[in-house]
Amino acid sequence: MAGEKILVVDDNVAVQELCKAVLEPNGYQVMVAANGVAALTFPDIENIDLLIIDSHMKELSGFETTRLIKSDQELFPKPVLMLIPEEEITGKENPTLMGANGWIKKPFEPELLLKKVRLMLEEKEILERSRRYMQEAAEAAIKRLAESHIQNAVEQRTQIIIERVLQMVVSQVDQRARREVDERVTQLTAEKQEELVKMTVHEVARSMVEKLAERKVAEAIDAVLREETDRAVRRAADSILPGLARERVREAMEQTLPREIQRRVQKEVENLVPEASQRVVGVIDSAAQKVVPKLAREITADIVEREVANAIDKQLPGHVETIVSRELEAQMRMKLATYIREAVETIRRRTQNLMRITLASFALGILIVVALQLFAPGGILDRRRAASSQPPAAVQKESTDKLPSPAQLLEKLRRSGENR
Amino acid sequence: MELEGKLNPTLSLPEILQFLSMGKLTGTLTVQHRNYTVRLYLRRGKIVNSSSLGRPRKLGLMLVNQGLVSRQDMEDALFYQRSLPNPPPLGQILIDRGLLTRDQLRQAIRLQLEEEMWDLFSLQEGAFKFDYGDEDSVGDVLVELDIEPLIIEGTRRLDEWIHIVKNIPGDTAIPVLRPLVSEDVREEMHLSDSEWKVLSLINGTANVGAITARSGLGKFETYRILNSFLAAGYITIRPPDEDDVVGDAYLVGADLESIVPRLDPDLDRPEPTGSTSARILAMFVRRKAAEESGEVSPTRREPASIKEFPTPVEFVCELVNELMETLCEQHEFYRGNRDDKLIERLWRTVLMSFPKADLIRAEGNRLNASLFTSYAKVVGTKGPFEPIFNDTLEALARLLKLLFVTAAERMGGRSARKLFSEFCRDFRQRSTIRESGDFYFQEYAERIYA
Repeated sequence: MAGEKILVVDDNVAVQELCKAVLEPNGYQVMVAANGVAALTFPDIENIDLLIIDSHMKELSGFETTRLIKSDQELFPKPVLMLIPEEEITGKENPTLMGANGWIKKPFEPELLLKKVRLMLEEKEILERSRRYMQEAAEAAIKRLAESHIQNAVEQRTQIIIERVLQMVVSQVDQRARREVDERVTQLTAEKQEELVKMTVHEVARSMVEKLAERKVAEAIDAVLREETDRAVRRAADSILPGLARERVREAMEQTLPREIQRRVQKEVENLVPEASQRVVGVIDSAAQKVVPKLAREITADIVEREVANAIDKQLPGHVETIVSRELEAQMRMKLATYIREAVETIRRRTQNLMRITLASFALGILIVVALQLFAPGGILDRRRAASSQPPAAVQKESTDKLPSPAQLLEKLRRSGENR
Repeated sequence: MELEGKLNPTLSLPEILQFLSMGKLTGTLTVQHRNYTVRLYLRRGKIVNSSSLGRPRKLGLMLVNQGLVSRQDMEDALFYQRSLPNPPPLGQILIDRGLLTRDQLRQAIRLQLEEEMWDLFSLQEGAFKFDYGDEDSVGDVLVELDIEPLIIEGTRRLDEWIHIVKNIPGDTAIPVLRPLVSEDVREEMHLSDSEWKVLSLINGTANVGAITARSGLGKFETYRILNSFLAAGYITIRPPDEDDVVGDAYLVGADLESIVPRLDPDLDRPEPTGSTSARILAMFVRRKAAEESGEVSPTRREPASIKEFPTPVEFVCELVNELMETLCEQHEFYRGNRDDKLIERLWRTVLMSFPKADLIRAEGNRLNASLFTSYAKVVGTKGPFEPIFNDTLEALARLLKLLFVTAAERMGGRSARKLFSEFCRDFRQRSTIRESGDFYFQEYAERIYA
């Protein structure tokens, strides 16, 4: 290959010219310099293919120049052919070259210089080619290695990222699940609570209904008794006949009245209870709808907390149920006892009133009978007045006018009974 | 119509040139200062030629010194030019022969013109004359120099030149590289191509003149770069020896023949013989003619011991050494200790023009050809070594001539010639050359006196 650039460094112009005369006809481009510093500072040194350096130069010797070239990272690959004066290498087979790639002695045969230059350029070409191959191989290997490293790094990184993401996801899912579980538990607890409350309310309502029913029954009984009593009283008052009245009263008091009362009471109860119970349930429901959310809001937190714990332990329901049932039982007992007492008291009072009314009716019958005996025409008084004077007739008439009717008497009795 | 006058501080050459440029005049401006005469050819206000360009030897020497053309090729081209009745310009011959491209020639001519202009600008006195002419009289134009930029650049250079010459005393000063301060030279020194060119020519023996001649950058630019190296501490300047007898007249490119009449008007100078090849050819023809006519070469006295020299170079070297010994024995010549290194100084001057001859070392008053001999022995005097061989022989001829001029100056021309002639004849008789080749000593010795 021709056209390689060769820099000849020799302080002898004759040697420079000799090298040019040998090399240029063979296609080489030859540049010359007379000192080592010029070799080191040649502006186009990058494109120089070979340096031929005289070892014996003033100021900066060829050996030193070569050493500086070979210690320079950029210039290191440049092959250096050293020209060593014959007297310097006498007896030395391998002179110290300071890194030079080859040497020939000065003076040199032109053919030897040409041969050496060709050889070194071939070596350089081979070296460069091998270096290029090595570089390419190294680059490829580095590339592969880099890719492998990158891939590993990416995989590791990806794994780390995935793990982190998974951890984050798991954490978030965990948190979310926990939150959802909590919410669900809270919801379930609330539902359960609501259900329990509802059940409790229902229970309470049922008990209250029962109580109300009892009260209504009592009131109905009271009303029926009052009505029946009034009717009986009116009937007894209407039946003026004492015997009949007495019998009937007795009958009524002994037979008819209790059965009739019982029958009617039962009938009234049968009629009134469903309606009353429905009304009561409605009232309770509406009350419960108003009361329960409020109560639930007020006590939900504590209850929820407690219920959650109990729900987890599965103890709450039974416990609450027990407590509620106990409470309800106690309250029901207490309230039932009150109501029973009141009912008993009422019944006792009514019975006493009824007895009083009965007694009063009996007394009134007696009075009526007595009055009839006294003031009836032809009676005792009439006879006494007739016997004494005329005026007694007017008195008699006035007295007759002043006597109350049976209905008025019954009314008076009732009022007195009520006042009492 | 002519324009003429005298240069003075109020009317300098740049001002005259500026006037001619503004008028876009065509003609010839002749400037004369003492014995120095220069003609500048102008076309439409631009400088296109000078009388120095008319001297092919000067242009040829410049091309040879720059390494653009080999000395042998140049000599052949000059011989060819002189052999024609209507010779074309030297540059055209070199281009036709493929030795030079038109751009290289144009660049060389431009450099030469510019150099000449810088020299002219420094003239403070002298006479000038402008002759109007037509464009045809100018001839073939390769280069046109605008005067305005030249004047601006010239003014700048004059200012800088004053500072430069304070540091670099002259062409004979020798720049020497300083030891490296740091090993990291590449980081410290970032050189331009021109700077590197100058640096690459410093070898511890080449003086500033030789470096200027070989750089191809011109005197000012080479000096400027050397001055910058000096300022940066890369080099030191070894001043010329005080006893250096060789002045600027002997510098590169100087026409040696022109100074000889001043030294000895009685010397008989034949016409310049032209190139080496021409002379060798002439010698060969004359030798053949002599042989055919039965004329014998100078009588050879067989001395007791005949010295054998491998090549003419060693022969001439030894001749110089013994001649110098002989001269030093002459009281008219020898002027004391300062002559003990006369050959060394003269050789250094010769090397400025013949750098390829540096295989010959000068030490004191002796030339040492051992290095040359070893190369000639291994490489041979033909083939790649032939230009070096020829240059060395030419350089030795120049040395002998300088020595003869010096001797003629001191001893008188006739005495010197007699001494030289007798000595050369005697030396030739007691010497033999193993590989004389085309070397013919009689012709060679004649050139000493030419």
